[in-house]
Amino acid sequence: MRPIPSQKISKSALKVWRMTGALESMVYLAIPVAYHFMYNFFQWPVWIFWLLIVVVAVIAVIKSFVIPTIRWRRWRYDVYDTEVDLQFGLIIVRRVLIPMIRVQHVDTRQGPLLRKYGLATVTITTAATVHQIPALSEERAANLRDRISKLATEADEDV
Amino acid sequence: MSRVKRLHPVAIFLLFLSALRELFIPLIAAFIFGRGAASWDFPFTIYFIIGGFLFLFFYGYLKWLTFTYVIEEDELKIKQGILIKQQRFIRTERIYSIDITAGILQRLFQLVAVKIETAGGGIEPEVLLKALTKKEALLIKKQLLKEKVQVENEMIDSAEDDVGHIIQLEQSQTKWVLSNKDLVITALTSSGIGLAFMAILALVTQLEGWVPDEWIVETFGYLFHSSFIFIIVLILTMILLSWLISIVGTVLKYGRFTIIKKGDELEITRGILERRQLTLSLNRITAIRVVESVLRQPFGLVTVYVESAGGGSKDEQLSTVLFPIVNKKSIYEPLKQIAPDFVFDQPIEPLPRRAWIRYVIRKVVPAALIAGLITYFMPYGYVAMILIPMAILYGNLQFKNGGIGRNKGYLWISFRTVSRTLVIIPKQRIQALEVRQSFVQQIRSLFTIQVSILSSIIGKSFRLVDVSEKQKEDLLSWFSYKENEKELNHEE
Repeated sequence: MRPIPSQKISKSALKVWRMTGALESMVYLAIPVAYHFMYNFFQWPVWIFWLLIVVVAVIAVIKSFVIPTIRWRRWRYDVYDTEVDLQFGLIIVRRVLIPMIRVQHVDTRQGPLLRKYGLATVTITTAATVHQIPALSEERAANLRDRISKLATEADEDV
Repeated sequence: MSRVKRLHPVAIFLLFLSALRELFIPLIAAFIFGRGAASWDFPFTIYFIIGGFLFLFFYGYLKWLTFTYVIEEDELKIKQGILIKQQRFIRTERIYSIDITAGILQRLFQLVAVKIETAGGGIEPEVLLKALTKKEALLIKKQLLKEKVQVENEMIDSAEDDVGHIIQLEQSQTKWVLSNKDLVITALTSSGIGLAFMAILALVTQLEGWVPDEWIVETFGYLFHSSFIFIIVLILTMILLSWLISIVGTVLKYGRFTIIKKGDELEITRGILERRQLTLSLNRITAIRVVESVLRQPFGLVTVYVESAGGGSKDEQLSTVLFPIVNKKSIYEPLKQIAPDFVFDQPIEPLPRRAWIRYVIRKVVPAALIAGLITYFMPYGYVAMILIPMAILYGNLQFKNGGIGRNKGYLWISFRTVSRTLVIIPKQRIQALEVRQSFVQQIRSLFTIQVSILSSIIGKSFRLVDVSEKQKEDLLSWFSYKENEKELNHEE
């Protein structure tokens, strides 16, 4: 059996994902708020309001604690001389092999949140697919980008 | 030294027509609504129309005049634009495919259109030369694409010689032609019937809006009074009509289908009203698909498609039809001539038994849901219960047709969506391999595999659901460049 990849992504990824998860859950708050106005108006039952609050709270917990933790634990990668090996996913565990010769280009990206925590995402592009290794420390991401890019060029020459 | 060239003057007419077509709807709208209170001032209208036509014609002329192209130093240089000048230089090595087509208008003047596509770029062809003589088109194609290395010396030769050379080549190469009998069979079993049926159905429902209300009341009254017979006759007529449409469509599309193979290049020509020519390099083929549609399966007939980097047409999901119809048993014969690399024994390892129940459940659950709803809400709805055994059969069939096989350099996957498909992919064409396992698959230790290749300009993936752990592991180590490297080292 092929062992799972050895490298983990940065621990700070958890913080960022939790934050984005929390921010996204805020959006759901709009539903109970809207209901609050409506039930005053139409005299709908109050208990639905509290139910909605509970539901939103559960979603918030899932989105900002459960999902980031599982995602972070699952995320593994390895970069060998000849291929890139990724494993990730929540409910569906996904494993991807990308041969180095197929890599067309690699780049690093960074949104405002990632930048705040000194993180960056590495994006690997082949002719047909795009893959990401999210939330590595800036330095590691830059090294990885340069390394993959160099390996990909060398692999190209072989063929 | 090459000189700057223009399109054939007939292009003026074609440009005029396409400008007219673009303006057609606004013009009609202006005609109907724009008149306002003004009465039908006959002379004014006629002058207006003539003036408009003249203007458009002049516009076409200017467009033709300002569009020039030249092939120089391995570069296709195109200049165009009346007010805003646009220059486009395309390096020949970036050119993926050159399509020579002849629409009805082009054929009227014995001309062709040339489409040139490059890596990257969108669905629209990078360059479209609307009207050229056949000779000029062939010359361009030769200069841009043909045997890039060898041809360099010959390119100095005069144009006439070059064309003569091509014709000579054509005579000495392999040729595959779709016979008339096969064309008829292709047309009879075409799955375009479904599409045509939907179109007719849409048309019929649209017609309702045009027919007077009274008539509808009468008809519907009649419908409710009469038994099912009227509806059945109506549906049968519609089916027959769509069948006829799809037959005619297929004959027009695949008539005079010819493949000419010259060295590493395939030239596929097809179509009766609109001749399409497409050039495909054998070493750009990223996969071959053998598709057995439901209508053709009983007769043991299949369609063969190729996926290639560059090329491909929109109406075939960016693939190219290689053989519109061929007998499944004797498929190797034409393939041996045209794409011999793909001819080898392809044994298929079936899916593990424990995957069966998942295949069946996936089909039965939605079927049972629909059947349940119909039974509940409609009189005689329980007839819909027949959907459930049908779903079981369908799931069973999908399970049976699922499978995978490989040798050193190739992977082949067999699966069924509606049609049964066998896709053969060379290992070095696989861009990425993905293995995934859902929560539920974990219980039965099953996996889904997904292989991505380049098709035309976008990625395409083929997926097989519920392979066994061993199949997945074998596939991973077969594909892993790292592990293969290790093996090589061991051997040394």
